[in-house]
Amino acid sequence: MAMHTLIKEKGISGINVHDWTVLSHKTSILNSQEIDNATNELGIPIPEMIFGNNFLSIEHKSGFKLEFKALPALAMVDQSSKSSDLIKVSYAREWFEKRSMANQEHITDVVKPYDWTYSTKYNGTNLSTDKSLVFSPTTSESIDIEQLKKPDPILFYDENILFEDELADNGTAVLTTKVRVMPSCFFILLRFFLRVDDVLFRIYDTRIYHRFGTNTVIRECSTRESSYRETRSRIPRSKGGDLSLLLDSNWVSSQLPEKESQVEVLTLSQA
Amino acid sequence: MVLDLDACIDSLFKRQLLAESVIREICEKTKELLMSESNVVHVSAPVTVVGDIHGQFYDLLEIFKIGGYCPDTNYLFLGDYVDRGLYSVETMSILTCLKLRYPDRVQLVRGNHESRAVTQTYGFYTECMKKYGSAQVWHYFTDLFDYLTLSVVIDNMIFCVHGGLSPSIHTIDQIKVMDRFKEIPHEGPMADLVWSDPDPGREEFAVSPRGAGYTFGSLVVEKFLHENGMDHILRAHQLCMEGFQVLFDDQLSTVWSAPNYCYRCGNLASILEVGIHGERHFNVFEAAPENERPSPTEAQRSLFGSNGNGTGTGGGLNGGGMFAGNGMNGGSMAYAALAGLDSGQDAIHYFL
Repeated sequence: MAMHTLIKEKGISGINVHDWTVLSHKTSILNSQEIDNATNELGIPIPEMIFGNNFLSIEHKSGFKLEFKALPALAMVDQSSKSSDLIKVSYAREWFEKRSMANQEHITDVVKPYDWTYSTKYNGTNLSTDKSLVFSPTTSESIDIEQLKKPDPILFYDENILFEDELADNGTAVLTTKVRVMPSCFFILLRFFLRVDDVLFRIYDTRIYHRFGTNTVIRECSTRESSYRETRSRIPRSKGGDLSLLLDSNWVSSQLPEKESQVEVLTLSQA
Repeated sequence: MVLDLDACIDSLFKRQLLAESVIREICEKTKELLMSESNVVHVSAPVTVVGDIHGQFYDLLEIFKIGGYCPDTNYLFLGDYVDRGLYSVETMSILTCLKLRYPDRVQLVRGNHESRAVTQTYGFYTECMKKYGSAQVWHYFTDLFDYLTLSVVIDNMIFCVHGGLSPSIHTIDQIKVMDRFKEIPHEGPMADLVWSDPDPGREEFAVSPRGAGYTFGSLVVEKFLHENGMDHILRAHQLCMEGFQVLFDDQLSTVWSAPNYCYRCGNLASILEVGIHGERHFNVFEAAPENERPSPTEAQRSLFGSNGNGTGTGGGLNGGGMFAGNGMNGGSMAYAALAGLDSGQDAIHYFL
């Protein structure tokens, strides 16, 4: 069994193992002053549940450090002029038509466009002291899934929510981290999960894998997407009218076709 | 059998669910009662105003502890009683009983979650199925939702609503003539009242980038209050860390009453006590001890009434072998191998 020490402080849990430190910090949502500041900085309305001070970080003795936080993830949300036209809620057309009939068309003032689904391909913030420690594309390496399927003991497990928004009850957009550390390796999943009711499902996954004793960190990013209708039709009939499977990102993930994926590798300098 | 409301209320305070047949009767009677209520109910201070509860029943019990019990304290609830929390059934049951028992001292306004469509996705439907083994109770309550009033006015001074204002509504009288006895539509004034949000950075109405729904600004609030001779708008609908928020030069308040929302937000909550001279006091509180350690197993426990059966939690909640393959392996589906094993601790820890 690897030598390790668990870390448990106020709001922080984590582990020291080999030359690594894994930390997860959980605290309350931002207060209104912090939200005002973040809104001004990002230029978009902040998700309803914003855990802006939460983070997951991994740090190696060599100076490599990768952190996962909500605000840098939100900074990557599309704010171009067309960004809010890409996806509309299911009843948007009906809404606009009825609105014209009700003589409300004079309200043309639309809130500054942004991708209101908070879709973000954020895959971590590299805080390495050594600026040469960067991920670069690879075709020769990949995450060892078979290794991860082994029921090895788990030294440390944690799940952390970075932000969550119900899209005014039109669905869910949620960004979470999960980490598990085993004697031989660690594995992280950063997942952006989006459900727009009656419109679509989307999952952006980032997976980080390191096998202790090697000098590489592998990062795999993938996107999955499918229509709501197609996904809903895959609910087993025995579930009747119960749609709660659609809330389970693991189940949805297993039903969505992969659209893109990319593998990158980072080489650690000798500690 | 004669309906004994006090006994029902007592057993709910003891965390015991009512029988399905009792819920049916209570909902029927409450519908009759609500049918005669206007879309704008007028009440007098003192009254204690409660924002979103979202099935956090233990925190609702805390509210009664802090704010006083019925009928000693008059209550105005601003909607969003269900979904998200683990005890929507208990919350709706007790609020409905209290409304029926003390119709002039308890007011229930409709929130956007008091809807069939929304509750089917956000938890209330699933909870009813788990606790009663059928969707009947969900049907009784969601039918009742259609009868809830849309707004309350306190002493002709404070306009209270779940969400906010609508570009189609300039006067209180326009609300009075609306047909509210239906599912909440996607658009129109009824939708706006339960959905819209204030935007402190604006003056007028603006269309949400989602493609439906409005935000409203300072001039809208000012015009509405002036036109109707009132001095304050009181609403719920938006989570805030501090439990309340006051905007537009003290012309609008948001009250939020679900502490540690979803058992993880760490936020405070408040109830707003409106005094006989219109003075407003936010009574801020933290999560009840039971909130801190929510126990899903407890939530799913068979809290059945006398006719209950224990089969509610049956289907679908099993893990099977840790790595039961179900034919998915290799390639892009590798990461889906654990899907379906969504409940067991092992499956959670061994995510891929």
